[in-house]
Amino acid sequence: MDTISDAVFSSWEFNPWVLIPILIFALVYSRGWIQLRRRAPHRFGHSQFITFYAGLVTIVIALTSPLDGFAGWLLTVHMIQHLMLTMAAPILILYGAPYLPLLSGLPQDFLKDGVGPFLASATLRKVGRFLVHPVFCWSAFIFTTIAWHTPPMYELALRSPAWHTVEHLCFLTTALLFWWPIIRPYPWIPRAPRWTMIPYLFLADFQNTALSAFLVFYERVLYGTYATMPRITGMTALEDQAAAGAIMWVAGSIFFLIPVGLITIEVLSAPHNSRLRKRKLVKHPQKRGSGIFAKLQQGYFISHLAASRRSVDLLSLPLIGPILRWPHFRRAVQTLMFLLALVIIVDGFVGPQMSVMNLAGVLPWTHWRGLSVIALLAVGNVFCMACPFNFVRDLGRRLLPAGWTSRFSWPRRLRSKWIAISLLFIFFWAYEAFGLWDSPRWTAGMVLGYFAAAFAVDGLFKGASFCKYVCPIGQYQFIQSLISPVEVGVRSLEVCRSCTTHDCLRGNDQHRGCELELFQPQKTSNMDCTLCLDCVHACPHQNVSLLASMPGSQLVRIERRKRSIRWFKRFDGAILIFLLVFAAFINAGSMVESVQRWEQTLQTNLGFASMKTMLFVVYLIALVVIPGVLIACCFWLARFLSRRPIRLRESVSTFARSFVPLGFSMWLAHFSYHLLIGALTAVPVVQRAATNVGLNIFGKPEWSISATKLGFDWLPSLQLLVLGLGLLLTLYVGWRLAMSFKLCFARTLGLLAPWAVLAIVLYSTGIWIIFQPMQMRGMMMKGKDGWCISNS
Amino acid sequence: MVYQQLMKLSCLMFVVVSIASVTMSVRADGGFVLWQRTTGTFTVTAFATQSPLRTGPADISFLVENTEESRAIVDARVFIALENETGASVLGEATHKQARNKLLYCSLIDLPKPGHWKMKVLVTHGSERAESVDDLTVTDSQSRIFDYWKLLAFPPAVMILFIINQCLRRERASQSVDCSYSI
Repeated sequence: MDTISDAVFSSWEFNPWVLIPILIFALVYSRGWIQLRRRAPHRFGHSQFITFYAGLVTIVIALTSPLDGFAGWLLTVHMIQHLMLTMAAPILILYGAPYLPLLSGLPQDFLKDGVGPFLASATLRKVGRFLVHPVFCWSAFIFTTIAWHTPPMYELALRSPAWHTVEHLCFLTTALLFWWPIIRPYPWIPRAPRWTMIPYLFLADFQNTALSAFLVFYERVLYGTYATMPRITGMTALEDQAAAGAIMWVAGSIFFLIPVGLITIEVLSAPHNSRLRKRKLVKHPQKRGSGIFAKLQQGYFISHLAASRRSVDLLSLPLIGPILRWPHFRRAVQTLMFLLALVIIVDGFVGPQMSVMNLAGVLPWTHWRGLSVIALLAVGNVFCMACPFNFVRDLGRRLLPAGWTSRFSWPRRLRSKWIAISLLFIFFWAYEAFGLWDSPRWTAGMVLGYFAAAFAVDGLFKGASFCKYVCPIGQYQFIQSLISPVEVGVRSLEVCRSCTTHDCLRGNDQHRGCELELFQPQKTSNMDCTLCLDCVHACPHQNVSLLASMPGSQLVRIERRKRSIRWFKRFDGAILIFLLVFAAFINAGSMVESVQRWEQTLQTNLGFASMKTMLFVVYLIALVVIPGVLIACCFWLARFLSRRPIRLRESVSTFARSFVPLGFSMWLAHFSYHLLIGALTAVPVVQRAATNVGLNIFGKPEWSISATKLGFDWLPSLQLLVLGLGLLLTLYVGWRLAMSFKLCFARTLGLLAPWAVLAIVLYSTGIWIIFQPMQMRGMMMKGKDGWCISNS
Repeated sequence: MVYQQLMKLSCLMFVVVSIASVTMSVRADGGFVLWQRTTGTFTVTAFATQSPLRTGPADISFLVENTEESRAIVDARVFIALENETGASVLGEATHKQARNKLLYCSLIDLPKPGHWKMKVLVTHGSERAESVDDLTVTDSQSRIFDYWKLLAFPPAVMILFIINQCLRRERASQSVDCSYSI
């Protein structure tokens, strides 16, 4: 900082709690305003748009500029901030007639199903009418102003950031209410005569004058905090207080008395004001069916519904579309991943056996897991699309003589997820028992074994049997991709109805069809879809594409598409989902220090010679016995509370899908923690690997980078947010699924309640895990004798 | 249309702000006055965002003023050293970078233990330097639930709104059924 003025003017704050809501309001308003202006340009003019934005900018300036930074030091600055929130911003916002633009700018489904019931409620409409009644508006504003200027309340706001926020919210909301009857934002119909606004404003000005005069003439410092603050402007605390009172007096009077003048002129010319007369005639618009919800039902706001429901087609997008449509795109990505896997195998076997110094110890466990789970959230099953194991199988099929490969069909008895479920259980146990993350050789061996298994299974059997029935990573990806925002789907079902060749399933001379036997017109979710895009290339009508969908919408699709319903009713699918959900919490919980201490104590107390055996028993209990008991309890309770003779398989397989978002959120919170904390661990390892093979392009390994624990102090907040969203989506999906049983309200609640309680218990476990000290796996720590790997 | 461009710009800003909010680091904001000392030509005021200080992350900020002119000094260097009665110590430099109010020098430090600490502050400005030592009391940290109450309150708040929404829908549905019967 060169000068004091530089320091003052650079004291802006980046406050997401202010900026994100403001931007959401700006976006929704703009969207709604554009739609409404097309229909009623005389109602929604440019000036309204500009003033609404100006109001939002005023709030941003008041809450993030140096005004907020110095509000705790100088009462004058604090007063200017409050005047912006109570006088300038509300007037500008209300002049923008925000009610209808904000409503019609919302997503149509959310407006209809989410906000609609609130708007239609007779009770809430009464509350709304009461809130904008001039007597309440005036009283609320005056009471809030006086209450927050009493020394105890003012000091409370100065000492506590949370109360300061509450104070600002009180000022803004009551000021919006205060100015509401004066500005009369469209389409609100005033109920009090216009002349009543003159005493309304005069009385408010009287209160303002009294309060500001008290500040000006009071001979002691009213708010003790200001007396202790450094006097950076040269004014004493008392002078500062008097100046703040003067600002309040002058500015307040201007804001109150100018409207008095304007309203007086308006009232005096009232007999000639046809608009006012017309308004007086319409007394209760809601009763005549012209209320907001009535308009909503008449389609007033939902004319664009059909258009908005059209999914975004990713293959039609510029730049992304041509790349994804390129026939060799998948092969190119797979080649890259294959080369990376080869490097990891080689380094895992011949490189240093300290995980943090080896590519096999860092890339798969820290980076690949984190990136793939983020890709699932942002796009979809990207890992299966770029699968290197699949690449080897295809290479083998191409190079080996015809008839050597794909000779058999996968046995009918094994066409389920039970093999994959068993392999997943073994993997979760082995991960902890053998410390896979800490052993480059084990990791390399596992990758090599994976190549061999994929080659052997798909070499012998037709189609993609390995992906569909065996691959544990694939099952993990399939389940988590159920909440991804992208899926392969058909552009038009009409085209599919007229299709007789079904190339998307059977393939043709140039392109193979879906090896996982997914028939596009019947496919409703990402389950079993590897995003290979074979169906996209095979479809002669170019009717198959990558479509964007609402995350989680796949879980509640209860359309009459037999195949999807059959999958979701399968018990093995439900067990797979529950295994992955419970494993998310067990896997993250294993990193917690207190859990590790407990495991050691348990081993000593129970007399297990080997930790591996003890962990096997623990995992058996944690991943099989406890989930089994909890699921059985939920089933019995749901049956009892709903009084519906629902069968175990039906209940479990229905509600299992609702747990996908919660499980995914825990995986995301866990893996993103590793990725963000250990993002830089790859740098020295790559440097070391390059140096070992004689490539000095990256320089010498900087091992200190591995120990750099990036200061993400916001990480727990992000984890809690992710987990909270996961819980909410789980409960919402559960509710929708419970509704599909078409029971009465109380029974529907009874059917859902036990599963909801289980979800909340898992969520609480997740919060506990996030708040615990974590083992810094795969990172270096600096000890007394130099660098060492952190194991505790 | 210019408004659609503005909307797109708002969308872009929303994305940028959301990403930036995720990657931003905590910045200090003055808070309570811990003490004010005049040593040599400097008047140093120490602030903390919470009182009493608790174990864990804490931010301590300093305003350095020229005693004679009562002007804030913005190009000084401020070093801080804390020492616990058990011998634990924390060292750091307070800078403008971490402060929101740029007149302040802020240091985000991690207080590992509760108890009585000695805080030594060294201010250098050109050839002048001043040092002051003060006591600091650090108490046990409060539960982390209090730090994250907004995020923890978010799911129950949405659940309550959803329950009200469903009740209202149900009420409306039953009303429409009643109406049809009466007709």
